[in-house]
Amino acid sequence: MSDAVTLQLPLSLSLRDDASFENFYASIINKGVIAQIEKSVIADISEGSIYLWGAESAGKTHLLEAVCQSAAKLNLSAAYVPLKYSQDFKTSILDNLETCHLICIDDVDTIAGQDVWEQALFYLYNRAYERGAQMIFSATQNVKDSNIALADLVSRLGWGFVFHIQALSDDDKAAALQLRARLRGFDLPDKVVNYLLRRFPRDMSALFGLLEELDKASLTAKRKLTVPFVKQWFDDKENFLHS
Amino acid sequence: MSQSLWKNCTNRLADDLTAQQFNTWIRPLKTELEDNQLTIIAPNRFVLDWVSSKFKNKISTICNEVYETELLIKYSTEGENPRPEIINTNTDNSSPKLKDAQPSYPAANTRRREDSPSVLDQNRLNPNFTFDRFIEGKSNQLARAASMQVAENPGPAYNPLFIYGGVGLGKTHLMHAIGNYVLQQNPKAKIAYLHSQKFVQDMVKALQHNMINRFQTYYRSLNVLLIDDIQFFAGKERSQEEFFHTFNALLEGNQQVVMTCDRYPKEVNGLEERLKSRFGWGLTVAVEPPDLETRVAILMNKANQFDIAVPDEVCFFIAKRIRSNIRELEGTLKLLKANSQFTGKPITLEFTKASLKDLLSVQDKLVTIENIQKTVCDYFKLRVADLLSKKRSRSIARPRQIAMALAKSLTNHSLPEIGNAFGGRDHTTVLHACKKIKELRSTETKVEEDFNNIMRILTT
Repeated sequence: MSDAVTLQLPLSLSLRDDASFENFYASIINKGVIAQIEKSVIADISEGSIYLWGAESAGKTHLLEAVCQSAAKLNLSAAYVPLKYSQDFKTSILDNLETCHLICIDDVDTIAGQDVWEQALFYLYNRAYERGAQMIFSATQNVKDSNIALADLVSRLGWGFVFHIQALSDDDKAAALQLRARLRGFDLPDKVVNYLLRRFPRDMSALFGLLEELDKASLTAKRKLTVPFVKQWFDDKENFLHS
Repeated sequence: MSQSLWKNCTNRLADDLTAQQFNTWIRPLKTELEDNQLTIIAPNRFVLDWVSSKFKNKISTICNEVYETELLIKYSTEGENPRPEIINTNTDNSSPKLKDAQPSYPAANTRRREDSPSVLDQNRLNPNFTFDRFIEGKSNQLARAASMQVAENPGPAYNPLFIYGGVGLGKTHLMHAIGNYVLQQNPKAKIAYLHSQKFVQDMVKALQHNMINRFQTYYRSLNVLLIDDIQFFAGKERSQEEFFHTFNALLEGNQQVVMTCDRYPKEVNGLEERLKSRFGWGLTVAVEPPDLETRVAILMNKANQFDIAVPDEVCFFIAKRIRSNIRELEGTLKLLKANSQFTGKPITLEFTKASLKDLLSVQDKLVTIENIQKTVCDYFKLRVADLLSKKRSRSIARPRQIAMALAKSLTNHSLPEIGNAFGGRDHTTVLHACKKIKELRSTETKVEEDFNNIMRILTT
C-alpha cells in the first residue's frame, strides 16, 4: 500500500460542513465576484479558470466548498485539494483530476517555490484546459505576488479571471454572523453581535466557531442569546480553563 | 440507482468527516452499478488508496444496508480496465487484493468522458488557434512567417521548426495554427499536438505496460508532430532518448517536427547535447514580447472576441501597463468584462483604472528604479555601485543607458528623478541615454535583445 494510509488528516476548525452560497455573506463589494463563482459550475469553460485571492478568513475555502456542493447538486464530479496540507500528500493526488468537471485547488500559494508541486500543478492545468474541466484556485496573494517561481504556471493562473475577495468590514461581519445565526435557526441580537465584535478576535473563522459554541451553549441552557448570557458563558469557560 | 445508492452512502460518510476531508477524498469518487456490483472509481491511485484503506468497511456496511441485496464492491482508478479489484465483505479486514491494472495507454480509455477519445484518436488541436486569429507584430512576424511556410509545405521547408520565447507570447498558438492549417489542407494528415510532459507520461505508461512498441509506432507514424515546452524534457534521460529516436525517424521520413521552448535550444540545461544540436538543424525563430502597438491590436481583437466594447483609450491604457505577455492582457480584459457585468457599467477609462487597481498597484510596486538597476546589474554581471558611479567605460555606460531607458519606459518618474537615482546625474543625461538606446535598438541586434530580455524579466 502507498504512504497514503499513514496520513494524519487535519481537523476542520470551523463550521464548514454545510458551506454553501446561501450561508455565505456577500458584502456589496464582493457580490459580483461571488455571483461569478456561483455560476462557474455551469459557465462556459472557455471563459477561463478562476483565481481567487484574499486575506486569511476572507471566505475563500468556504466558496470553494460551496462550488463543490453546487456541482454535486447537479450530479457533476468535483475535486477539492487543500494544498496547505501538501506535506501530507504526494503530487500524484493531482493525477487524472482533469476527469472531474470541476477542480478546486485551495491555498495554491502555499506550494510556491516547491518545484515538484509547481510543475505538477502546471501539468494539471494543461490537462484540465485541454479536457475542458473548470478550475478554481485560491490564494492569499495576487498571482504576481504569490512567489510561484514557474513562469508558465504564473501566466496560466493569471489567464482567466483573477478576483480579489475583499475582507469584511465590521458591519459586514455583524451581518455575516446574523445571517449564519438565522440559518441555524436562532436570532442574534445586535447587542450580542456588537459585544462579540468588541471582545473577541474578529477573524471570521474564529467568530463562526464562537457562534457555534454559543448556539450549543444556549440550547443546552435553554436560554436565549443575550449579552448577560454570553458574559456568563465566557466567565464560566474561563473559570473552567483555569481551574 | 447507482446515483441514489451512492448519494445515500456519501450522506452517511459526510457525518464522519470534516467538510475538507469529504471534499478531498469522497467528492471526486464516481460510481457505477451493474448486476449487483458497485464500482467506486477514484481519479487516481493516491485517492483510491486513502479511501479504500480508511473507508472500505464503512462504505461496504452502508451500501449493503441501503441496497438491501448483497453487493459486490470494487475499487478502481479512472481509466483502468479492468480495474484493480478489492473483494469486499463486511468482515474482511485484510489488505486490498489489487490485481495488476491493464494500461490505459494506448488502449481506448473507457472511463474518460465520451467527448474525449483516446490519445490515438485525437490530434489535440485547438480549433480556435488559427493563423487568422494570430495578431502579427514586429515581435512575432518572423515566427509567424516561418510557421506559415511550414504549414503550407510540411516536411521539407524548415525541419524541425524551433520556436522559442517567454511564456504567453503565442508559441502554442502558432503550433496549433500550423496543425489546423495542415489538417485543413489535408484532412487525412496524422497530426499530434502535445505538451512534452504528455510525451513523458505516455512513454512511462507504455514502458510500465510493456507497450513501448505501440507507443513508438504511433509517434513515428505521424505526419506532423507538434511538441510544446521541450524544456520540460530536461533531466529526463529516458524520455530524451525516446524523443531523440522519434525525432530522427520523423525527420528521416521527411515528416514535420515543430517544437517550442522557453529559451534557445543550446541554453536548455539538462538536455543532451545531441538533442540540442539536432534541434538547431532546421529553423530556429524567436518570439519576443509584443510592442505597444501589437498589444493594443491584441486587446482590440480579444475585446471583439469577448463581445465587449472597449474604447481605444482603454486599450492603450492597459497595453502601456501590461507588457509581459498576452495571457496577462487576456486575463485583464476578462476581469474588466466581469466587473462591467457585475456593476452594469460601461468600460471607460475611469472604470478601468478602478477595476484594475489591485493589478496595477502590483505592477507599479514591482517596477521601481532600484529594481531596474538591480536587474540590469544581474543581467550584465555588474555591481550596482558601478552603475551609479562616474565610470564611463563602455561595459558600464551601456548598461547604465539601458537601465535609464527602462526606468523612463517602465516607471512614472520624471527625468530629473531618474537622473538623480543614477548617482545624481542631470536629466539631459537621461534624455541622451534614452535617445541613444532607441537608436541602438534599431541598429544593433544585441542591444535590442538585451533590452527585450531585461524588459521581460522586469515585467513577467
